[in-house]
Amino acid sequence: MGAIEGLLYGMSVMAQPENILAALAGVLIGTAIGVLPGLGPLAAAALILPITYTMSPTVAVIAIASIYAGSMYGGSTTSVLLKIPGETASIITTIDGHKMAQQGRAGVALSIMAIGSMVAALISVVFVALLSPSLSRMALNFGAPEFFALTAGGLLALARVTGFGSLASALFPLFVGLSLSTIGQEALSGVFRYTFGVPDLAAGLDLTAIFVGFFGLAEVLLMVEAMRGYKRPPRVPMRSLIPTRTDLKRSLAPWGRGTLIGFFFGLLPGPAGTMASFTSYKVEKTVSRYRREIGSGAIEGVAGPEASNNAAATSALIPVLTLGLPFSATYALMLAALVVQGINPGPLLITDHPEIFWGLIVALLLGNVMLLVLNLPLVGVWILALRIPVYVLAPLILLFAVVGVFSSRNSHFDLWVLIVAGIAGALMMRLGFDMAPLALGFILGPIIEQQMRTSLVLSRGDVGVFVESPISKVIWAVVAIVLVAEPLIGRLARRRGTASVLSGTDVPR
Amino acid sequence: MTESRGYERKGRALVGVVGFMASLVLIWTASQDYPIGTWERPGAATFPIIVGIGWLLASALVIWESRRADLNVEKVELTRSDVVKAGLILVAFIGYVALLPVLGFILATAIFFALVLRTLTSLALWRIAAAGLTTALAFYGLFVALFGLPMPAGVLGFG
Repeated sequence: MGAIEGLLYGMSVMAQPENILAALAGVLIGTAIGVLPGLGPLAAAALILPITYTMSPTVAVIAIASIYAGSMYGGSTTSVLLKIPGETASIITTIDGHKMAQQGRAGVALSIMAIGSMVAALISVVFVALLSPSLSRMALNFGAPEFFALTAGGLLALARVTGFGSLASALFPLFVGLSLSTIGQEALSGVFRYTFGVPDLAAGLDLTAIFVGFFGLAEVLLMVEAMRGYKRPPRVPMRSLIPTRTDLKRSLAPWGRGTLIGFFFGLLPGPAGTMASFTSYKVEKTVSRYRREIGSGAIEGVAGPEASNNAAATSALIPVLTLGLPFSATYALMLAALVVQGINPGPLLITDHPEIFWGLIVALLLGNVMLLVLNLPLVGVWILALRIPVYVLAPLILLFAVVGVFSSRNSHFDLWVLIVAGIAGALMMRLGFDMAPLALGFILGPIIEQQMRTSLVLSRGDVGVFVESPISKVIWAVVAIVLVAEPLIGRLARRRGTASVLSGTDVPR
Repeated sequence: MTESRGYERKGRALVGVVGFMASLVLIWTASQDYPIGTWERPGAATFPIIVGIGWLLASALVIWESRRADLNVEKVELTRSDVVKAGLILVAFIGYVALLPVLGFILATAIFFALVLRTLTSLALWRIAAAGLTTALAFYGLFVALFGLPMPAGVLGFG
């Protein structure tokens, strides 16, 4: 199926009322959660994951992708209005976005942000639709050693580029995730590992309990600790949302540059949205005609980074849909939703389940239009979410977590796993560990083990098989470059004082 | 991000030590209890041992990094009351999970919600009780009655 046929097919899938409803509910719920400081796309997707088990796989992926898009938008809204980024990709928007709000131009900042996000996402969706089928066909040539290189190498590269500047902060959670994935009956030989006679562990740790615990419950505990009410956000009258012709003209080039930068970063392992928005900001500060104004409320400082983080969120779908490899924790959750429903993500997804692939592509197009049309007029409503007292919000989220985790396997044991994971997650986050590698390690662990063992069996124990094919060689070379180059770039950035742009920003964990 | 304070560095060192010991258990158990196989046919112990060695090294790195003075850990100013607040919610939540199979979903949920409100607010008792019961019934109606999700019924046989 070609891209045009595929898009038409996707539209027919999206015409189903339940899919439209999932996209609409997803963007609305995502925005509401994204507005809440401390709760980002990952926590939103983790909390909604158990509910998706009652949906069809297509509805489930549409809901999670829409929640992701919505929470990115919600996070940026509070960046502009309150200087509180809902998630790390919106940190850079606080600089010029909030300055614009202080100058009485919050409405324009929000509009430019929303239009840019939509344009970037739409362009990226078209690229995803065009590139994915051919990449997927190419991936069919991948054998076990190539998949091993992609998964294991991808995780190593991810650990190198995340971790808030400390290798241990990403490596440690990565190995915790990998270790947790070894618990339960092993798939190839049926041996029970690390069950210690506990029958509930025979099927392994429940993915829902682990994700909701490490991300949902942990985030709630940190939110309760740190949330003490925020200053009143400024009013945003409808009329102020309309940008001037000059605003639009000045935004065009940053949107374009941001989209390209974001699309590229989305294809790489790591915190794509954050890296893309920081790079876009840096590029605008270097090449923009108005570079001297950036940092003091320039529209370019909002347009570029916002377009780039949305483009990155969209292009990050390519490795998920073509290879079955999530390079972001939120998409790992989307993958988990598919796996739980018996769908094997990978190169065959497009041919075996075109309704999921093309339905998702069209849902993203529709979801981004919905975000623009619905969310700008509703900005006042989203701000109300900040006024919900924490003593109401926290127990409600906890109850939601309990219902989701218990109903997933009808197991009381999983609730204890939820609590242990939540406490461990909150402690690790508080101590500066990056938790995204844990999620990816837990999801990819069984795949890495299977590919490693299959490779060794097929090569009769020759470990050279892992670097034998040209594809494997290229992948390991890229991983090696990332491992070596990242510390050098980091050192250079620190020397130039890039981190100083963050000063004064209230960054949530 | 700011220069780390003492308790954060100690906390990370402690996490490193716990990880170090857990990884040793992982490696030891795998090598003793599961077939290691051969290079031609790796057994169930191979992958956990590799992961365990990786975890061991990562834990050592955490311990080593925790000694560095320039370790970047985000500084969050918390008052004693903030920590107590989070702790009380956590204790109430643990109690809720423990009592769920005994009391059933509706009763346990109503008590949990009321307890959190009682601890964190100065609302009148009747309002707290009403809020607890309303929340429990709303969750039951939405998730159990409407979506058909199974929740524990408890000794009373409902909820």
